[in-house]
Amino acid sequence: MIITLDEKISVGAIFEGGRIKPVWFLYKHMKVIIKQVCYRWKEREGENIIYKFTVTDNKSIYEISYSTMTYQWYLLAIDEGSLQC
Amino acid sequence: MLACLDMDAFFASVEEASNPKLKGKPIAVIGAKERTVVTTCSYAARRLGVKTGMSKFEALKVCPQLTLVVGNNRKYTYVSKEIMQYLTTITPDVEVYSIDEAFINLDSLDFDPESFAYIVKTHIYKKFKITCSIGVGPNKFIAKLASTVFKPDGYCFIKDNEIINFIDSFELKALWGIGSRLAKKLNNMGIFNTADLRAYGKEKLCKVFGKNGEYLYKMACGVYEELANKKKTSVKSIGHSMTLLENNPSVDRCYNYLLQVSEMVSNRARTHKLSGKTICLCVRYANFEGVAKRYTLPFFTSATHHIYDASLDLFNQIATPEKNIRQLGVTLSGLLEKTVMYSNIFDRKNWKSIYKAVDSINKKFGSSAITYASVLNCERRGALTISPAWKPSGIRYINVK
Repeated sequence: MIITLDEKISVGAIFEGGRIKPVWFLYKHMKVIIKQVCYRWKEREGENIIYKFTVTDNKSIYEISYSTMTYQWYLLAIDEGSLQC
Repeated sequence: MLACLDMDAFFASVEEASNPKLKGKPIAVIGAKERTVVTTCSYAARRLGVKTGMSKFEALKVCPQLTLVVGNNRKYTYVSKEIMQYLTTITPDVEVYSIDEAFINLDSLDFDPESFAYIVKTHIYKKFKITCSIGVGPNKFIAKLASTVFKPDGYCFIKDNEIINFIDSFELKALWGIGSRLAKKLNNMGIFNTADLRAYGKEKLCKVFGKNGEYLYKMACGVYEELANKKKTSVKSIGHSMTLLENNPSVDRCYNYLLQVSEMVSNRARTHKLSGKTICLCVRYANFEGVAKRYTLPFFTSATHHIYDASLDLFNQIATPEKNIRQLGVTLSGLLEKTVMYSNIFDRKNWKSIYKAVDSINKKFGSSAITYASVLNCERRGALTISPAWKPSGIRYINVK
């Protein structure tokens, strides 16, 4: 089931060669290790470019975003449940 | 030679690719959580009887295991833009036909159509984990038909000497410009396929259908003269419509939506330096009946307040609010290019400064960062659907929500 959220989160990410690779994030005091970035895309709201990712810890799918205007990461949605990647 | 690239179940494929849990499952993409229809569905869902245009209740009835996914328009427009941009790195002769279709002129390429298809398909799959079908033929019409033959992930190349046999294998309705009404009319004339159309003859077709008769005859012979059009064509009108969420909306609520839609039209006119004279209002009711009326102003305008005033007058003339209004649309036509008109001689306010201030705020913080307070009463705000005329740039580009 997909749960829609809009929570600020702390993320560990690698910024390299113009690409962002989220590696882990903190959610409910738990460190979620990102095993795979499933999809990435970019959205624009005015001058704010928002990078969006769907990522997985091999258990659930998470949608996270990074705003280049506010330098803030958000957890947008979780699709919980078992997943075999 | 022309190629037609057609993405396979585009929105559903992007959703499957971005959420591995959905891979291979029957999924349908819907517009919103509220009352809505299936925008597109995966091939697994199609095999189980789900069709585009079904209501979500109908879809769940034919396929109870169906997963409904609320569409993310910005994800689709991003993927589409990237794919179309990639095509222009191979050849500049690319016509973006819709969000998931493009025509590519292959004449200037140094490699054969099969290699082109292999390169493009590999790139799209590697980068976006989705598939496309490519049809190649001597013109757009044949290429488009060819792209539908081996879907999904198909490739079909029709050579010149195969055209007649190829088009004869399709129903009349597969031809561009032949809908169910025209097909029925042709059937009544004893024409059931393209071979019958050719046998009927060009002259007789022209007698019945006028100029369109020649077009039909040429298509039945596999002739289509229009080339891939990479040039930006000028637009004849700017329009927006919005489906209301509320049942039996009050007149005041309709006014709020009219203001919002007028502002969307005006905003696009201002952004692309256009002004127009004719305002057309369309009202659609829950029973799918509709009314429309147009009014031509005595001056050109790009301003929301003029468009809104005119559409309000038209609304009061033609709308029957008791009939449960479902959709409102406003169109500005009679366009003049390179002209932005904020006010006329009777306006007392300095509208130009107001619009310029609003536009610069919205440019920085996003569309509708600042808007009319009454628009906040609308449950739906902003462009929520991707129109078939959507393009990745220019006046037909809309930053959908």
